[in-house]
Amino acid sequence: MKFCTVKQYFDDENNNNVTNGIATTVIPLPNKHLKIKANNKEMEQYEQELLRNVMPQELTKLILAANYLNFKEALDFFCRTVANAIQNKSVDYVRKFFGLESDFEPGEEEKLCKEFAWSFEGVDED
Amino acid sequence: MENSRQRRGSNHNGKMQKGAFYLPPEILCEILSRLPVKYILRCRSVCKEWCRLTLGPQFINLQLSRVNHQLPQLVLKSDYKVDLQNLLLLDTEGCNINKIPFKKMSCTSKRLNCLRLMCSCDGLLCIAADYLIQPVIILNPITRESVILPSPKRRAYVVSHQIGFHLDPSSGKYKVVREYRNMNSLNRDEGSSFEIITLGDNSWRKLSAPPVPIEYSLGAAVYWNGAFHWKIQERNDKSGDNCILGFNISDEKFYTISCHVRFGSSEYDLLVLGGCLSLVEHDVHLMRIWKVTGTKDEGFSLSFHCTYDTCVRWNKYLHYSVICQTNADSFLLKVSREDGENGPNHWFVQFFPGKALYSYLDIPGLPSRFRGVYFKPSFVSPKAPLRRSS
Repeated sequence: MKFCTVKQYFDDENNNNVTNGIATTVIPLPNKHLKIKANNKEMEQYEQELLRNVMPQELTKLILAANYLNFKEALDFFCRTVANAIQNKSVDYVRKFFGLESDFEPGEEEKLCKEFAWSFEGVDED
Repeated sequence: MENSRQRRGSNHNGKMQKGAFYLPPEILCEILSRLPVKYILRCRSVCKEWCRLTLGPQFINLQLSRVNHQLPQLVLKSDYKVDLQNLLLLDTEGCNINKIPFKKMSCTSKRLNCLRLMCSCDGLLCIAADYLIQPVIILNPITRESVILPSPKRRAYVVSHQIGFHLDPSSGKYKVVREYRNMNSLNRDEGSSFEIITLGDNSWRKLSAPPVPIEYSLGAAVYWNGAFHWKIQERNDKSGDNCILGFNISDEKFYTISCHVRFGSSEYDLLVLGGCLSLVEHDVHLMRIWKVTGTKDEGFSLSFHCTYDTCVRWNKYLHYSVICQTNADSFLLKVSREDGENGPNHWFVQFFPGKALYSYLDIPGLPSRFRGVYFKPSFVSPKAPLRRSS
């Protein structure tokens, strides 16, 4: 069963991970999945539409929700989407996406960039 | 199962980062392992946590299991002396090449540019010389880690050198099998010598001679069904029978698969097509495919599968080799054309037998002469090969 944790969630009033907004997005997913499971292309379109206006921060929240709800297909889908979103982007873009800051010592990051210089070629514009 | 996490906005060190959304490491692994290796490398520069994460065994195994389901890429090494500073990672689907600097990758001072790509497994490349039995280097071009295999002190020149390298599923360790023909042996019967080493061991072990005498140098080793295979022509020229020599990686025993067919002077490729060990016979314009059938217990045999008309009269100046079957109705071929004094010219085409159609792969940066091996990029370390279930 996909929603063994849903009851727990509704019982758990102090749950900050899964806001109501997220729940309305994530929970209807399995029904939709089942309906159009046969047609992959339709699924892709549905998924693209669903996430077109979702901010990166929302995506990470969705991932946490799907993880908490133990919903593997949704987790798989969201991870794939995040991976596609950060593919071939610059390191700064990825940091902004996840709200991270560099904690490298001065020179450490440069060393990494130099060692793997070939992987920094052809970066997409932000 | 995740419980309620109040650690939103903190990273592993407990420092509060403004706007950071905490993702558990296993989820970060899920996301990053889906990226092509080029971008994973780049992500190491994001922060220390990400760098640490991508160096861990959990991530390495996860990424390896994902890449095993994708179409393999190719690693090429240009034959031109001027361009031997780079290994080229070729994505045939996207038709693009990444140049990976080769120069400082190895812990040897030997000139790497005279070494050849022999084979690869799990993102590790095996490189060695054609005419010397040392050095043999196992290297991961992505992480730039390398290991030189133990070698005899004496510098041994040989006539030919072929190496097979693969994970032994029964032990979870990588093994390297090699064949070479000694220049000094006057007695033809001595012919090929076989040796094996497990990655991490201190010395090679000699293998007893295979059950068939081997007249000519072996071709490249093809791993299939737990064993290395080489196409060989048997010594008894009268029958002209060829057979496939097999070497089981776990029990380290040789066996043969007889072909019962005279191939005559036609060229043939030995490779895995559609999960089966196959021989592709080049008979002028015809491409005949033979597949190995049977089981280890009942015995293997070669049976005819199908013939395609390539609609080209191939010859010694224009010939091809099958790299792989890209999908049900097309093959990736490497075409070679002799260009007089300039030597051979190489390029790739997709061949669609059903439509008798060729599609030239326009790949920017492809050298005009190269040799390559199948490759699945990973972060596996040759220094600490992982024990894992295959």
